[in-house]
Amino acid sequence: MKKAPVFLGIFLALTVIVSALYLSSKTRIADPARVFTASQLAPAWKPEVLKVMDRVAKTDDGRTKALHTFAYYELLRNRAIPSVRLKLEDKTTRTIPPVAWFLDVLLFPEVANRYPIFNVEDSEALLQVGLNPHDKRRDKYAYEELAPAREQFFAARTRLAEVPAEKLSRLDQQVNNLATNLIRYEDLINFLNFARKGIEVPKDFADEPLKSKAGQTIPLSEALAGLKESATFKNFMAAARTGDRSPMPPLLQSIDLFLRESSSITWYAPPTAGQPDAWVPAGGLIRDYLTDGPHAASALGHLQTLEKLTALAADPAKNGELQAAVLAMGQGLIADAEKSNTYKKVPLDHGYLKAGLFGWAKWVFLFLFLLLSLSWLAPASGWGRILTKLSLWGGFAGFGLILAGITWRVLITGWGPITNIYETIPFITLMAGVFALCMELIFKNRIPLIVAITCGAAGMFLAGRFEAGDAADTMPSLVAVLRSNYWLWTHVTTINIGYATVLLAAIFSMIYIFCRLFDITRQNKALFRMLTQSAYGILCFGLVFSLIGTILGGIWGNDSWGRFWGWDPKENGALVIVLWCLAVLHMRLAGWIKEIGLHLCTAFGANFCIFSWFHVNVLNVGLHSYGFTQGLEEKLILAYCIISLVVLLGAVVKLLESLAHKQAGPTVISGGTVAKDSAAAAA
Amino acid sequence: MSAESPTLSPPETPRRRAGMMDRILSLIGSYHIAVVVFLLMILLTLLGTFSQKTLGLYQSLNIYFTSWVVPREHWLLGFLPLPGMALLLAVMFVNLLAGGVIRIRKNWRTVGNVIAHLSMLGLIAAGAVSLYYKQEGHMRIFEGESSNRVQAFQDWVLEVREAGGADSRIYMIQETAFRTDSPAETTTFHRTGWPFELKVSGYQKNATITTTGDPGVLAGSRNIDGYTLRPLPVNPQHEANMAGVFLDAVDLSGKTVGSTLLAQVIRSGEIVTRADAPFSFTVGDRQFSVNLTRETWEVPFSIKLDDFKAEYYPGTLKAKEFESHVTMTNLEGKDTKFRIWMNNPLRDSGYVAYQTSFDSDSPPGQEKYSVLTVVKNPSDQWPLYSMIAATVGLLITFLTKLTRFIRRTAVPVTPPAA
Repeated sequence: MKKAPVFLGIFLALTVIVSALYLSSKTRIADPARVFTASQLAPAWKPEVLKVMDRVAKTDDGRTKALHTFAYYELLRNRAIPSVRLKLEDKTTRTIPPVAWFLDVLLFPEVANRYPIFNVEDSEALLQVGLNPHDKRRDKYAYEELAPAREQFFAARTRLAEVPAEKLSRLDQQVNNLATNLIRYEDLINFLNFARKGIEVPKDFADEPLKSKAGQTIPLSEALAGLKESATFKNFMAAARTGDRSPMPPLLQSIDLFLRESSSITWYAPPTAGQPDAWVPAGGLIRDYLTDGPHAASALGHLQTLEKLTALAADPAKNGELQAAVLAMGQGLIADAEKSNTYKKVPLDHGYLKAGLFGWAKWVFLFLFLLLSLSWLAPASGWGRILTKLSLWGGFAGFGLILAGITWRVLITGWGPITNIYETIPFITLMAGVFALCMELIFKNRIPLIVAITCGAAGMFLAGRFEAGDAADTMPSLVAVLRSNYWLWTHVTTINIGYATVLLAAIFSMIYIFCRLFDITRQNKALFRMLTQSAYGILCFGLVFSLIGTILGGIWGNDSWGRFWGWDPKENGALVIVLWCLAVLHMRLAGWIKEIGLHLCTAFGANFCIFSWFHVNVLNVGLHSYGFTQGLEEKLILAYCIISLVVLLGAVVKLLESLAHKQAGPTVISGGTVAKDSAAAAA
Repeated sequence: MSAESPTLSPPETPRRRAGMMDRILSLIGSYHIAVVVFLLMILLTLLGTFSQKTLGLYQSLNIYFTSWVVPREHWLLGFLPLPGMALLLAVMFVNLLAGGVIRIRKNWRTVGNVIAHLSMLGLIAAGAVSLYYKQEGHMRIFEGESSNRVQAFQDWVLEVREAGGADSRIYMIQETAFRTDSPAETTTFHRTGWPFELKVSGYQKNATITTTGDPGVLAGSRNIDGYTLRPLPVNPQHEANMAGVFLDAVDLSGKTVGSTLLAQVIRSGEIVTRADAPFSFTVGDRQFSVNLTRETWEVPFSIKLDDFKAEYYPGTLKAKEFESHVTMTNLEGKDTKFRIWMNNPLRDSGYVAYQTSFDSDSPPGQEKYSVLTVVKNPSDQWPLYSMIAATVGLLITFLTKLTRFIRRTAVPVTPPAA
C-alpha cells in the first residue's frame, strides 16, 4: 500500500506527458524537407516595420482587429500553426511571423507561392484532384504545388456544395477545405494586381486627357485620374444615374476587374471621421474615387502608395526604400484609424494574441502537474509539503492567467465572457479549477489540487486544439440576438458554471472509481468520504446553476423569440443535465443508489454535460445557429466511450465487491456509515 | 425535487400518518415515481433532440414533446412504447404536488425545498397553459403601412367566404380536417346555409404546380386544364412546406359548379396562393370564394410601421441591430409609439410583439418591410416568477447544506499514507 501514491504520481505524470506529446503530434505536421536558397527568399522584414504593421487596423467579419490577428488566423487556417518555418541552405531555419508572411504574399507573391503553407492531412485528397502527392501521407504543400489542380479543386468544391455536410467523407471535407483555402490565398495574391500590372488604355480611347496614352500600359492611379475627366466616363455615369444599363466602356471594364480583385479582402483604408463604418479595401478606393464616395479625396494617394510599394518590391536593390515605404504606410494607416476613432481596441486585440495567456497557462499547469506528481513520492516529507504549497499557489497563478485572458477578451469585445463555443472552454476550465482549489483549501489532501491542475492543463490543451481546428477568429462579431450583455452575463455564465460543476463532480467520482479499481486507498475511509461528499456537494451546486441557467435561458428566449421553451437542441441539452442531476439526487433519496452508485451516476453525468456542451452544436439544427460547429462527432463518441468505460469498470468493481461481501457479511466501507453496500443498495 | 442531505446517511423517512389519503399521497408522491419520470424525460429529450436532425422541429415536437403517448411508429427499438412529454409532465406535476409540497415535512429546514418545488409546479403549469392557450403568428408590415392581422407560421386553412352576401364571416377549415392518408381520398364539407358542398382531395403537404407532362407527377394524378400537383419531399422545417390541394364545389343537386387546384409558392419573400386563387364559383345568384392560406386572425389593435432601421457590421451583410419604430392603435383609437428590437419586445394588451425578421433581400438601408412575431400567452411571465422562486428556494436549501457541510468537514483529511 505504501507504494500506491508513488504509483499514482508516476501514472498521472506519464499520462500527462504522453497526452501532451500525442496532442502536439496531432497538431503539427513536420516541415517538409525542401531547402530554400537565398535567392528563393523574400528580403526579411525589419522588426520596426513588423512592429508597426502588426498594429495596423483591419476590419474582418465586422470586427476591427489588428492586422496581426487577421494574418495569424489566415495562417492558422492553412497550417494549424500561425507561422511559416523554412529550412535554409546553411542548415538554419527562418521563421516568418504572420504579418511578414502577409506582406510577402502581397508584395512578393512569386516567392510566397513557394512557402509550404497548406496542410494536407491525407495525401489521398490530392489524388482525387489529379495531383501527385509527396511520399508522406500528412505533409505541407506550397501554393505552386497545388495551383496546377486549382480548376479541379474548384469544380470539386462546387460539386460538394450540393452534398449535405454530414454526408461528406473525410477526403471530401479535405478537398473542400483545401479549395476554400486556395480561394482565400488567391484573394491575397491578387489583391495588388492592379498595382503590379498597371492598366492598358485601349488603342481607340480618344478622350482627353488619356488620349495620348492610348495603347500604353499606365499606373491605375493615372488611368483613374484621366478617366474621371473624360467625356466617356461622364456620359456613362450620367446615363447610369437615369437607370440606363448600357455596358461599361472597355477601360472601365478593365478597372472594374481590378476593383473586384482588390475588394476580396476587407483591408486598407480606415473609415473617414464622418462615416465610422466605411472601411474600404483597395478596390473600394477605386470605387470611391470614381463615384465620389467617402474616400474620394484620399483614394488616389492611397493607390499611388500601393503602386509605389509594388514597384519597389520588384527591384531587389531598393529593399531599404521598400521597408521605409511600408513603415510609412503602416504609420499613416494607424494615424487615419486613430483619427476616425476606430483604433481604440486594436492595440488590445494585438496584445491579446501576442501575450498568449492561455498558452502560458497550459505550460504552467503542466509544470505544476509534474511538481505535484513529484510531491506524491513523499507527501509527508518537508520537500513534499513545499512542492504541494508551490503547486497550490502556482495553481492560483495559472488560473489567474486564464482569468486575465478572459478579462482581456471582455475588454476587447465589450461583451460578457462567453459569446461563442470557444470561450466556454477557458471559462469552464477556470470555474472548475477555482472550485477545486477552494476544495483543496478545505480538505488539504492534494486530491482537489491535482484535479484543479489537471483541469487547467486539459482545458488549455482543449482550447488550443479547438482554436487550431476551427482556425477562425475566436472573437467574431455577434448576431443581433446575442447583443445583450445582461443575458450574456447572467444566463450564459450561469449555465456554463453548471457545466463546470457537473464535470467536476464527474471527475471526483472517476477518481473514486479508480481508487476502488486499483484498490489504492481501501483503508483510507476519510479519503472515500471526502470524494463522496465532494461529488455530491458539487453535483448539488451543478443542479442549482444548471436549473437557474436553464430557466434564465428560457426567459431570454421568451424575450427574443417569443417562447419560453422551444425544445431546441441547445435548450434540451441543458434540460438533460438538470434532469440527470435531479434523477441522481432522487435515486439516492429513494434508496436506489448508495456510495458507489452515486459515483457511477455522477461520473456518467459527464456524458450529458458533453452532449449539451458540444454535441448539440454538431446537429446543426435549431435557433442557436451561432454555436454550430462541425467535425467533432468522432471525438465526442470517443469521449462518451471513455466515460462509459470508466463507469462500466466501476460497476464491475462494485459487482465483484458485492459478491465478496455477500460471503463476508456487512462491512464498514466509508466514513463510519455502515452500509451493506450490496447489490440491492446499488440497484 | 429535492436533495435532503449531502451526507450519505439514509434519507429521512417522512412522518407516517395513518389513513388512506396518506397512503395514496405516499404512493403518488414517491421518489420512485420521480426517478422514473426523470429518466424517461431524459430519454425522450434525447430522442426528440436527435430526431430533429431528420424530422425537423415541428414533427419532433408533435411526436415527443407535445404528445401524451409517442406514436407507435416511433417507439423505442420499434416495440417499446413510450409516454409523451405531456404525460410525463402531468405525472411529474402530481408527484411533485403530492410528495414535494403536500407530504413533505414542513419546517425551517425544508422551506427552501418547498419553495423550489412550488416554483417547478408553476413552471409546468406555465408550459401547460402555453401549450393549450398560446396563440402565435407573425405580422409582415411594410414601412408606412399598418396591420391588425396575424398569420400563423404553420397551420394551413381553407378560408370560405361569400362575396356580397348577408353573411360576411370567413369560415375556416383546418388542415387537420382535410388532411388524408392518401391523396386519392376526398373529404366533403358542408355547412347549413351553404348551397354547395366543398370536396377537397389530393392534399399534399409540400407540392408545386406543374403540367401533366412533368415526369415527377404521380401516375394517375388528377389534372385540371393540363395542370396538376407534383409532390415534393416534406421539408423537416415545417414552415418551408408549400401545400397544394384540389377543390370541387358541388351544388346540392350534385352538379359540379367549379373545380380548381390551389398551391402555395413564395414570391418576394411572401407566401402567396397560385393558380386560380382564390377559387371563385357561383351557385344560383350567390358567389363564393375559397382560398388556401396560412391561418390568420385579427388582434384588437393595429400596428403601423413608421420606420425600420437595420444596422450592419462594416463590410458585411451581417445584421448588427434591427429595429422597428411602430405606432400601436388600440380599439379606442389611442395611438402609442414603441420601438421594438431584438430582446426587447413590445408588451401591451396581453400581447407581445417581437422583432423577428426583416426584408434582407433589399440593399442595406433600403429594407422594405419588418416581420414581427405576435404572441398571446396567458403564462407569458410565469417562468420569470418561477425562476425567482426557484433561485430563492434552491439557494436557501443548498447554502444551508453547504454551511453544515463545510462546518462538519473542515477537518484536514490525511493524505494517502506513504
